Amino acid sequence: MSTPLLEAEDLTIQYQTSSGPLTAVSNASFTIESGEYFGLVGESGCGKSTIAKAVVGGLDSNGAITSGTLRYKGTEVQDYSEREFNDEVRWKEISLIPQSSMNNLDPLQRVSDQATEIASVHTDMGKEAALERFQEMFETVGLQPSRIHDYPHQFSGGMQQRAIIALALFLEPSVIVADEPTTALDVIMQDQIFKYLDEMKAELDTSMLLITHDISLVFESCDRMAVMHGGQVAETGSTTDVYDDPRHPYSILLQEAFPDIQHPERELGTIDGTPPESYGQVAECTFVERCPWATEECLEAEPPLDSVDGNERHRAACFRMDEVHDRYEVEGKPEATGIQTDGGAR
Amino acid sequence: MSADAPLLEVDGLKKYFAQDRSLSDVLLRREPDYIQAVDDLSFDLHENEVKGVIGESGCGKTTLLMTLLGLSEKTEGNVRFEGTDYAEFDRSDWKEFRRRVQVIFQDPFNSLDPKKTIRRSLEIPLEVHDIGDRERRIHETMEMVELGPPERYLDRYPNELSGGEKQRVSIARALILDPDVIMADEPVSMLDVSTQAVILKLLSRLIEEQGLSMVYISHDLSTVSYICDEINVMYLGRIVETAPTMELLSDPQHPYSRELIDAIPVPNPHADRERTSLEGSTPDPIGLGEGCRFRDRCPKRMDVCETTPRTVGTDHEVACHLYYDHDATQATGEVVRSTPDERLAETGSPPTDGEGAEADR
Repeated sequence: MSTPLLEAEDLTIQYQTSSGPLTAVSNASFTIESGEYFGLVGESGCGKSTIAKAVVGGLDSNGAITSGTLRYKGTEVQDYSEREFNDEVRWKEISLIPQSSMNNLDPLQRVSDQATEIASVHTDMGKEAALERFQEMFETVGLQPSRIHDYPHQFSGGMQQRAIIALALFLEPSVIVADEPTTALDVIMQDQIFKYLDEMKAELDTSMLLITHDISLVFESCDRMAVMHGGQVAETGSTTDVYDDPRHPYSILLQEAFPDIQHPERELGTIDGTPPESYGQVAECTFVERCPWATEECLEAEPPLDSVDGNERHRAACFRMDEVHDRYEVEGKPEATGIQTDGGAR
Repeated sequence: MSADAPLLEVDGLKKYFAQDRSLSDVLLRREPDYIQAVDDLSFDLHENEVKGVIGESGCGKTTLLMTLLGLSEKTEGNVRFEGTDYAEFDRSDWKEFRRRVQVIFQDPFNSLDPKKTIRRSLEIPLEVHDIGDRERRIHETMEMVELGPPERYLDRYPNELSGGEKQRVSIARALILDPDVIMADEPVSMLDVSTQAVILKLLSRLIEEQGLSMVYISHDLSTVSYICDEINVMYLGRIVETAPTMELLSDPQHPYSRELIDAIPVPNPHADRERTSLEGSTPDPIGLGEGCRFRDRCPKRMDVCETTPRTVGTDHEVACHLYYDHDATQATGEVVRSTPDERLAETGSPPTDGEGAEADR
């Protein structure tokens, strides 16, 4: 197989805090191929936004990749100097649609000025060419091309979000990192945005790393996905694999907890407890306190991300993945509520 | 009071906000523009009923809630609690109302006082209303919202609790005065999905056990179905459709309700849902004038939509010209319901895109 576009291998990211090194991401692995939409899903605090920041080289100053690698087209992201990364990768290769993008456009600059600035820093495109190109992007996302010279406040929330997407598409990047791109928007607007993202995928062959808490968006819009819990990748695979044959207890229970408008009579599942905060090296499954199937074994080591039934592209990190799914099908969710850990995790 | 009389009754409610005027506007005595946040809305809540109000941001649902709570003055219309208009309330009526009608806010992270312990937050309402036996009540209420043993939580501060625990405290605070009505403004939207389900279940259980009535406001139709008996769909200050929850979800009649339901993502990679066909976004509720509020975006728009539609139906009400017979209505003065097919045949103005009115998704 060719080199994946974006590849995380045993990636660990820690933040230095007054209580010690907080492990936001622990030994996470996943790959994104070119032209693929990849969803990273999990609850708040699972480390998904930290991964987004790491991919665009924008970790907070107290955060760093402490082990493992994050490679973009085969080159380690941390090998780039800040300057090289800015010259060669940002916007041109990897662009970002940030969370709450209403606050991410400069209110004092016309949107077109923000675009020409990006073009002048990252390319040798002339101003005229840049504006022309940006107008095309406006058209792609369903905004009137003549409005590129507007100030951000002249747009509604959904239009600002589209302007941000137009900026993210502007230099034809290979990957767009979208961190909760529609969380602040109403459903109809969300659907409109994803309609453009679908079209873009068909036309431009762009990849996307979609980071969201909303598993239904991932199931609908992505080809492959990873489910994260407490800094660990619980399960990764194609969306159909994870949906049809979830193996990690968290992916099973998360799916059950998600309301489905087409089956409003279905009982919602619940997951007890909250994800832990882990300090230092993580040496257990972070789901152990919430997992109804947990055993002592789960406390002894971090479970490896192993292939499911020999399918290399579908992997789960659970010592009991072979039996959990079958037992769940037959017995449902057990009454047990996981086992308490004695340290590390809160 | 008879059993059938509604607990809360809203009749032709309007709430307009004047927009800021510039100095020259004031000097020239120009009339301000009004934001028509709630515009001619009627609604009632009976005992043991849970009514949902659904709409996108800016549709006026929070303004409606604020008016129902008596925190915001109405512009026109009537709001009555047990038959008495809010305007006639005196001080003691308001105090009694404040005991019997409680609110749960959207954001558990900001709606608890960070400098008060959980015990203190629960104690204050009891002090205000001069209710004794406080420690027992606090313990009972904490158990009720499944925060047990209470000792574990009572002396903590909100920042020491998780989001779900905070929202349970907010619910406990709403329940501690043994109210009749709870107003809930998006109580689960800030919570993670695993916690959402827990809180929704807790709320439905409490409603049943405590015999509560509830107005539940949300933008999220997929969670509302777990708690509400009936849903009101709101668009730009008006209720466009009211129906029992399951009926609304399976057979939405107003074109807006249909678009709203169809835009909800389906958590299934095999599902083949079509993306929305709507363009643009909801306009600002300023200077809207006559006519159906949804007409400019509606895929089934007709000429008659320039006039404001009447609300028709008894159990399933809809405010759309597609659903009543205009000639019969005019002749008899009574609103006569008809199906969209008859309606379209009779006016001879098909939907703009030639799609059948009952087009399946």
